[in-house]
Amino acid sequence: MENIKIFFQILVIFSLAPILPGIINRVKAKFAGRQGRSIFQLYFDLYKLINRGMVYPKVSGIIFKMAAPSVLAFTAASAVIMPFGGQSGLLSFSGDFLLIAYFLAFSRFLLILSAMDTSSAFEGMGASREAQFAVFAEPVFFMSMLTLSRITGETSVYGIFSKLSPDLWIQNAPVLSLITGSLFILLLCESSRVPFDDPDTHLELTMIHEVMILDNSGTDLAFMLYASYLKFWIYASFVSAIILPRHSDFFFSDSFIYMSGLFFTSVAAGVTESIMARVRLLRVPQFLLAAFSISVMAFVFQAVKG
Amino acid sequence: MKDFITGNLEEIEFLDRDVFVKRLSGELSLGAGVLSYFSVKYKEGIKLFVFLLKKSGEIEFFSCKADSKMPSLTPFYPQLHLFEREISEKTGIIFEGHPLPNPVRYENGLTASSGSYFKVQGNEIHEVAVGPVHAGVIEPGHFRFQCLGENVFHLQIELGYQHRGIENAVISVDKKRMLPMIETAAGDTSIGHAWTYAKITEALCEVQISKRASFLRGAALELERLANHIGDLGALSGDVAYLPTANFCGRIRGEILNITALLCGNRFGRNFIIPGGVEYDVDDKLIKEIMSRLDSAYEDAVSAISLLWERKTVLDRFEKTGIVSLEKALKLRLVGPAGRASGIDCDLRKIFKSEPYEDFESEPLTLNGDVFSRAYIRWMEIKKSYKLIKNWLSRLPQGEITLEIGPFKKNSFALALTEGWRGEICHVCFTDDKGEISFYKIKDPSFHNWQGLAMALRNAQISDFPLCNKSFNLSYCGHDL
Amino acid sequence: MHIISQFLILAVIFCDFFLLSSYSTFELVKFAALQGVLTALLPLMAAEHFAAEGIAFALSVILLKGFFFPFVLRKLIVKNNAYEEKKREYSGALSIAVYLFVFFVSVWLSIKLDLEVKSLSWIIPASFMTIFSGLFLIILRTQTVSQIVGYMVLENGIYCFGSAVFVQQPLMVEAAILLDIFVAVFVMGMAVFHIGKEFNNSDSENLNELREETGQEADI
Repeated sequence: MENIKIFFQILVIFSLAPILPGIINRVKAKFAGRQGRSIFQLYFDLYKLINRGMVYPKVSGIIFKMAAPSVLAFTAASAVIMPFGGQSGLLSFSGDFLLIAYFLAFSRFLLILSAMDTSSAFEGMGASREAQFAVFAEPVFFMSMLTLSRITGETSVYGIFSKLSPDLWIQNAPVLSLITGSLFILLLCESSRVPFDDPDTHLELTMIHEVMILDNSGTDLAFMLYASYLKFWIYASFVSAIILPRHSDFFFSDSFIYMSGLFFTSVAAGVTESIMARVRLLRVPQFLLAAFSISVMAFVFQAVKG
Repeated sequence: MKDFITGNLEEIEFLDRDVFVKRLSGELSLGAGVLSYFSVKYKEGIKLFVFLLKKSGEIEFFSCKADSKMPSLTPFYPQLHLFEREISEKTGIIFEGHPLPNPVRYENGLTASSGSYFKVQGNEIHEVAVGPVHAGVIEPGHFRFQCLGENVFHLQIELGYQHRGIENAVISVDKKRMLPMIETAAGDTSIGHAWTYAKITEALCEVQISKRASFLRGAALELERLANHIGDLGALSGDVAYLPTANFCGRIRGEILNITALLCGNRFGRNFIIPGGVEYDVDDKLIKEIMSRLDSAYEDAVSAISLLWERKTVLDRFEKTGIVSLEKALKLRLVGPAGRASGIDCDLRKIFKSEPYEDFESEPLTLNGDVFSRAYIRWMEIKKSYKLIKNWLSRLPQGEITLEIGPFKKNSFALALTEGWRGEICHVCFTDDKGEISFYKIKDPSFHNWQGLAMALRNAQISDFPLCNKSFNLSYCGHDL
Repeated sequence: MHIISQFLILAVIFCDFFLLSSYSTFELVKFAALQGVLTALLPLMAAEHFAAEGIAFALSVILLKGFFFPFVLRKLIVKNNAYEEKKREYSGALSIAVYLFVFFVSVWLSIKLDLEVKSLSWIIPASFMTIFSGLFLIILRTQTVSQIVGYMVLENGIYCFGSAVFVQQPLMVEAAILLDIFVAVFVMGMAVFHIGKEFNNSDSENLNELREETGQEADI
């Protein structure tokens, strides 16, 4: 039974990942007074891309060719460690959030290498921006996870998620709300949403993430896009687990609550994208530092309380 | 004052080359601005003509016979930069001392790679080249940045990809095709260019159009200004990813274009202004329809655009970005909203107050030449245009909308100016001894302002380039003709 | 009630962040006013029962700090053309560092102080933070309007501290603090108004220069 549950949740994660950005696009369209694309549009886009042939730039080498599948592989490996509903992921051990963070960091490293392998000025600039923002984004994640493990007393992601409950909220409301805030800002940064990056822009000089995949085509591009959807799912899971922490020990109701948490997170991301403008590139590190200071404050709140 | 001048070709002073150069630099040092500076090929040689707008509002003009080598005045008066390059390209005259003697439109089979590019030396300097093939739906142009990381040291803009040879074509085709061709010099400024052409023909025939026709012309020009400014503000907010204004302004611009179509059947106002007046008349029913549509579109625009000035994240992107100081703007002689945003008082409607702008007043603003100023100026002009249109359409006088155009004066010249939505449009026309047009020169306001964009990017962030480009919103094909 | 007051304290701490990092005087006034309203609500939330005079007092504080003072200060800003800080010696990152430093110092101080506080354990660090933010505003800013706002923020912090610690006669203490700030804003406002009228701006850097100039003249 356990194996079936795990198989089911992996299936759900991988098949539902493209819906979340679809929800964001729909929310943005409604804010703009338009009908908007269907929530399932990204599935059709992925299908279209997979059926196309690939073109490699003449000046690129082996790294460019192997980057896209590797990025997807590492991101998928992180995704299967994430717990689902009240269930553990495929793997769960003490300190597994470090593994998640480093898998994602390694896939980012491969992405940067592949962008530089194309020897295009735009992609080089995007790679340098991405590397700079990664430096500021990593501490936010670690600080938030440290605080969460201190509150719950657990060191694995599954342990943390299962210990989160409404009672914990009542006791630690300020700390948990600060952590939610900093993880939400991290979500927006890692999935290249406004205010960090504009996913709908066509202006290469302003792009951070999409400019690095400008030269990918066909199946490679589908892999890269799908990896970014999985990344959104991973970070959104953290936010969802904190904001909707009820556990009823019944698999299907827990899964339903978890998925509605993901839904609300996507809607919140869509609303933020519709009402905020994108900040200047110079200001992005400050924004991330602000998220870091929020998580540091949460940590100190938690540490002193005990 | 009249915003056109005409006279016999003999009236243009013909000076000696050195006297010409001295007089030109004298006038420019007193604060005059060059309206047009061009070369005409005659059998005897090449003549240079210059038309200047003095600070008093007078237009001064003189000419000389050109040698194959002329001293360049660009190092002292940068506003002559592109004019000298254009003369050089068309005639082969070398302007000695010109800092960047590249071709302007790459006629005669040259390409952008045959120009020279200013390079900054250094280990970590990198060059970013954008265009002419790029990801937007705007026109092709080549931008070369010299950068250190994200900081831009220098931007060089090379255009010419849209060169169609309009100036030559216009005088060689049938007279009936002249107006449609001139309207397409810069497609989104059709009404501006058409009106300037009409002023020239009316000056050459000494015809005075009726007040009704000039009010209708004014309404059409202001509608063009409204549509483009609203579209620009929407595009600017789209560039900073502020979706509410971007989406609404796109739709509202369409509504204004539809109002223009009510006037003449064409959304860009083509074939509305003709020599002698306007082609189509309006009756009371049409005026009521136009006013009600205009009112509702303006209300929507006010609510959409006011959001921009209240959003701190938007203002944070707009303010202090792409600054062109007043000093630089005066040296380059920026025109239109870009010039006014840097603090130059250059609205031709205010300077000349020609018909129908006799009561035109505008409030002076203290602006510092950043993207916010250029956006806010557009907002002020939107409000002004709305009031003007309502004023004219509500008190439209009776009269003939079109008058007969007779034959042109022989051996004459005419220059006409119009404040288009981008700025100062200037056409110059010469007629020969048969009364036929022998020479026609078109100057779109973008000809002055492209250097402004290059200056705005100095020591700016490269990621702010699309925002600065949109804040100027210059015409590529108006420059390339 | 308990949770609401915890969020109020969190909001006060966030206001300090915006006060330290903002360059626009309008924003400073806005956040100082917000902070004043929040600190006025705190005693209400923490009380076991709602007394009529407590509510009336809180309402009057809200009116004073939330509407009257910002109104006066906004008029001053427009009059003196003091919309923003002219000199920006510190970047956004540095202001975040200052904020965190202030946070740590406040937390350390409150641990050392070890006061017996009723139910809101975080009110002491928050009041220290607000006091320090006010001090920083007075020291680091050059616009005189920003310095007035800094004084208001300082008083916010003291008010916060008072409502946490003084159990007997809390209203008396708070009324005293309120009188203090009312007189201060009144006097300082008048002074800045006249300075602005005389010298056409109220940037204290310019006023420093002026003093040196007049000093030289006196020598001659």
